[in-house]
Amino acid sequence: MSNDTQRKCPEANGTLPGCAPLAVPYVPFQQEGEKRYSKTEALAQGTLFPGLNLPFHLQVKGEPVPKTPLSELQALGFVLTELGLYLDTHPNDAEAFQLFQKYAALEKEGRIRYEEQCGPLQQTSAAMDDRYTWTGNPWPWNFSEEVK
Amino acid sequence: MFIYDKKLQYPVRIKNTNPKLASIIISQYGGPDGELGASLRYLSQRYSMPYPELKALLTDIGTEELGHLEMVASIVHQLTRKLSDQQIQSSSFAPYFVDHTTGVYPTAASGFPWSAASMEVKGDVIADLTEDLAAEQKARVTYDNILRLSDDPDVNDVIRFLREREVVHFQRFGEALEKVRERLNRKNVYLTNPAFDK
Repeated sequence: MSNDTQRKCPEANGTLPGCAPLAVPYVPFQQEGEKRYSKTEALAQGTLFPGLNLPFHLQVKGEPVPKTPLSELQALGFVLTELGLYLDTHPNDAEAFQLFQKYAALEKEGRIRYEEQCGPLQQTSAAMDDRYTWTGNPWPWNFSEEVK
Repeated sequence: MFIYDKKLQYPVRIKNTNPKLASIIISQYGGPDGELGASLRYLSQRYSMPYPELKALLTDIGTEELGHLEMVASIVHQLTRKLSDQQIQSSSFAPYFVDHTTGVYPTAASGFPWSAASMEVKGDVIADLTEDLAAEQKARVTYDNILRLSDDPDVNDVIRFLREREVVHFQRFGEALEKVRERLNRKNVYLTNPAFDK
């Protein structure tokens, strides 16, 4: 990226091009090195970045995301999704890429642990079991406390 | 190609059924600013995107929207499980029920079935990305309105997550526009359509 993404604004603010052309919309570019939530907090907030967390005034406090093997994996996957989108527009942020590598490794391990405990996440992982387990309940849209 | 992962992006655990609320939330499944339109818009627009980072971003956000489609469907499904006759007859869910029982069908809350007319693929980079910015804002407002209409904390927790994703996607589409401008004619970004003109 150009120098525009070098940190020069307060946290949670972004940079805009100087003397920008007229008649085009602008969204400030998120700066590199922004503060980040932990993976559990990121999943709970819906973003990895406190600077992008802009909630609506009507917030009904739900119960916190229960700590289960599934929510652990969802948190790891969510950080990867969020970092992936960030890297799509900030491909030269080396620190973010290192974090992406770290979380990709953690997610890979997490998937193996989850599948050993809870069954296959993908159809082909059922080949690792001694019988065909892919069709087993619960499917993701089922109410988790009801389907055994 | 796509490979199915047998999990939701974020947990959906709705304890209480509520058909009236389901008849509102279905709009984010098949309404004008819902997740079906979002995923199809981005996954369709990517073919005319001339730059690799834009192909990536539209693929990645379009794929995430498919996950959101599944989450919205899960909310509707869980809100309508084991309904009593009384619950169906006395609620605004009855008009939906007569056509779809408790199946999940892509329609707006107003009853209008999902329409490709609610989205656009213009084949022009600036026009398509500007549409995407607007689409994220419209989806964000729909989630705001659902939060106004719903008092179920289990539902609102998921809606709040989905709403925040719209804010993040808006940011990324805005950054994508800036990356496009860096490649265009400095004096006149409208000199050509880089998706079409050589």
